[in-house]
Amino acid sequence: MTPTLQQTEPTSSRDDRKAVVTLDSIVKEFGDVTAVDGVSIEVRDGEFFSIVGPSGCGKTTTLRMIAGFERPTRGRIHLEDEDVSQVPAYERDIGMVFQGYALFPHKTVGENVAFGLKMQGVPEEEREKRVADILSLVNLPGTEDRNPTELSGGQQQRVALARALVVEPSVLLLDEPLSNLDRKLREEMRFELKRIQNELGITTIYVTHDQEEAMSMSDRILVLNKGEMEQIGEPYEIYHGPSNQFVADFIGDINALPGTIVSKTDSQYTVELEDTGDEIDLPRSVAGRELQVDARVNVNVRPADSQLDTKLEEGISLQGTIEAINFLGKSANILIDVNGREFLVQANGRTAGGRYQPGDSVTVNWKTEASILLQES
Amino acid sequence: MGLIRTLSSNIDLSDGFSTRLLKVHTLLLFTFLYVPIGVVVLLSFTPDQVPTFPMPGISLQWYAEILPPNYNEELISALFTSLKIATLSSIGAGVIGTLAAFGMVRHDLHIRWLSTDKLNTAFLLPLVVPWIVTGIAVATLYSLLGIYGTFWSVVLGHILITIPFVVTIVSSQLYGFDRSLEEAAQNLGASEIRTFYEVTFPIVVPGILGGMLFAFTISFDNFTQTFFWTSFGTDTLPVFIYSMIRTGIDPSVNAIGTVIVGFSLTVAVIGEKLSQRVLD
Amino acid sequence: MSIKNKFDELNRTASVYFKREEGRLGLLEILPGITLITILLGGSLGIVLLYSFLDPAPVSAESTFTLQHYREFFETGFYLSVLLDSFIIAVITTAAALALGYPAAYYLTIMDSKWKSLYLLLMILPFWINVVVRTYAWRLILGSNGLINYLLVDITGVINSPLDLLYSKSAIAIGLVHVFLPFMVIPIYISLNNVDRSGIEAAKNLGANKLVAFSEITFPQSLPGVAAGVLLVFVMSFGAFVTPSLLGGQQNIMIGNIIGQMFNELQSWGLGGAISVIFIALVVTIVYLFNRQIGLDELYGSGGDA
Repeated sequence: MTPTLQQTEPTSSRDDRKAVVTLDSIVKEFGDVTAVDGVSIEVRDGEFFSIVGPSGCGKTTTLRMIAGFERPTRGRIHLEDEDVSQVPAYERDIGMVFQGYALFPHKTVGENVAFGLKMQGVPEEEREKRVADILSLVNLPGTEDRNPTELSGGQQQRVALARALVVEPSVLLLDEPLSNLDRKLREEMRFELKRIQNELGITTIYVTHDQEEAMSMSDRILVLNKGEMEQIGEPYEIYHGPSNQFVADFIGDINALPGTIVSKTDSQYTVELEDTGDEIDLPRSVAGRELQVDARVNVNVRPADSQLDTKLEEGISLQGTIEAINFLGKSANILIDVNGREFLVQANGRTAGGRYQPGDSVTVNWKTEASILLQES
Repeated sequence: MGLIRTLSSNIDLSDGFSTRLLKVHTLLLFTFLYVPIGVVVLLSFTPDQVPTFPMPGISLQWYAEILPPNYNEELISALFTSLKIATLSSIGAGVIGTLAAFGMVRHDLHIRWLSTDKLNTAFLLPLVVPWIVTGIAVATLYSLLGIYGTFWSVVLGHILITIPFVVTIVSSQLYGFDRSLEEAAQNLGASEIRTFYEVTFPIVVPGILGGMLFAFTISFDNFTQTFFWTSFGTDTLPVFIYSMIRTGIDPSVNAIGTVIVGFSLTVAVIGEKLSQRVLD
Repeated sequence: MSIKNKFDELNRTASVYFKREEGRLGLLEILPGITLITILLGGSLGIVLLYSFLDPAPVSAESTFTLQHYREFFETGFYLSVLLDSFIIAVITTAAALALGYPAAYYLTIMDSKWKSLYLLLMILPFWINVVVRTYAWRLILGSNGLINYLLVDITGVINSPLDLLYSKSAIAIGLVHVFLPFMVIPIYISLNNVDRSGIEAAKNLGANKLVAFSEITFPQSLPGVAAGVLLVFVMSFGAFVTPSLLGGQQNIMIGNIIGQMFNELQSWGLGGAISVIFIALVVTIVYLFNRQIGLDELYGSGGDA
């Protein structure tokens, strides 16, 4: 476990819920490569829990260990109160939706969805009824006799979801389920997935490389990098209070200005920015943890928290030149050269859209408390 | 190369002309491929003792050779021998080849001197070693073992020469097999054995059947090796036909040939349909 | 618009998931096949190798080690000249099959897709018809009373007396091309089909005409298929047996016929063994040199199931 890990205090409403999935210091090695290195999480009943991280960070391996397709090299996995570390996949009460959907091509939609029930020995009549019900839930009523290959990607996705849900597992695992869909459909399916999850109240673990997707859907998020846990927390916390530079960079756009702490008092740090030589004062509250004088740091600020040519009571200002403007309608992304470093401002489309042109000299401002001060990684 | 480049950049063929040239070439090639087959079929209807042009008329007398009541007994027995050998060897090669394909594609053997590449090569060897040499060599081994000319020795030999086809076809199918289908089945509560017969086997079976059909045809058609492996009583159809035409031409061979052509084309079209399914 | 790392491009789109399992079950699965090949093929080739050094062969009480069979092969000009003839016939067959097969394979890749599968089927179909029957057909065409002489003498009267077409090296080569053509066309077709069309378009866009685009872009990319086809046709026709024995007559035989005679009619297993060993060694050497020239990996990629 990394020492920088910032474990979030659970909010009171979720505190009492029992843990459904517990990973205890899970390590997975493939030969010389450590894919997952000491992951410990508790996913609580009814929670929508996401694991995000770049490709190769170990998120899919973690999910596959929960499902039982891989055995952890070290550590324990508990499902409710049972230690399932050595239990084969087919004896775990877990449903999974695969990235490529993994629908059986030689079976109809109905047979695909009924497969799990058949394995449980559910009588045929009841099977048919439950299949019909679940297909209605995913908005595909009456498609039992269709062939999965005739369906669109989005429909196949719903069938895969129905197939995982019909057996009423205690946990639902989703492995990048939206990554093969086009953008519009992906956004639709986010709402759809969330609606179904809410309706059933099923504990869900969601793996994605798309941080925006994770933030829009999850109760809590785990950020993984190179097999190690970087941070666990609610979307808001992770976005506005990243515990280290990796999380800050990975979750959402951010401007990072390198600098050095030149002095500190009980209430604030003074940072000298590397690019401009400006010294700025930041309250201690914008740093996640205690920093030392002479420490190399980044002053981070979200593009959406930055403004142009605004008078702020307690703010930071830097001079720059506009490099490019990307007008998006309700907002405008403006790229500014601040002493050789690119700085992105997401300005209001109405007020900033027509006002600036590349080459204009501007002042970049942001509120002091919108800064995120992190030790350079 | 410089000269060719200069030359070719100065010749500009119009799209239509060059394509038409290629088409004419291809059609001529089809003529070359099919005229001999057409001639066999045509001359099977000659009333003459010698199958030559011009044909003085049309007759079905040579088909009597293969039809009751006057059929050629040796011919029919050779046909049945061929069918029996082809059936048994395609089953044998189907089982052994499918097992081998599963073993090679799905397992890391962790044996340093036996890599998957080497195994692949080993399973292609029966195809790569010149057929005439396989023929005489295996015959030599059989006579040393005292089983030369027996029915089962020919079957065993045919399994050897048809295995490469089954292994190649089934492994290519397995390489394209999405393993997450099996994980999905296990995730839904199917044990490993159940997963195999509910998911793996039904999906791979067209490939196995395709490979076995290929093996059947290869066995049924094989001449070069079989010629050295059979003796009286175990002659296969190609060996029997060969002995009929070794020294001359015989119109009944045309009738047999026509039936074989019809039969082979049917099998080929079925095989094509099946492999189309495999490819989809 | 990038101020930092975006991971969107890492979006994995591969939908086929492949893995290998550990364990000894795999060994059990390949065991029957590998045993059969080792014992039946390896064992029998070993015996032939052994016999080639024994006199008399097969093994008997008075058998002794000898190099006499190899000496006989090299000292009797006859065997060497048959080997050379076989090599020449195989080279001519391969060249003819390439010349005939390449344009046809190319046409198959560019043609209208509506007819493509029919043309492909027509190209492969003869492969399914028995080789003995197909070779026999050439007797009906090339024979002194065959189709060609009928057309030349009786129908058109171009010549007065029938030509002697059958029982010649050309007849053997024609028959071999007919039998092995699909083995040339299919690998070439497969590699031509894999050529990226956009490269050709780009070349044309840059001012290359059709021929230049073909020779600079398409042809080099089809070489693996050509190599596979050439290798298959060469090896198979070099060791041909049935075609020369039906179309070559007594005068024109190939090395395969000699080997066959040694074991069947003449019962000289020692000399036959020596000839087989020399023949295999020669084939392996040629294949090895060819592969080293062209690159082995590409060949297996496209020539696998021909």
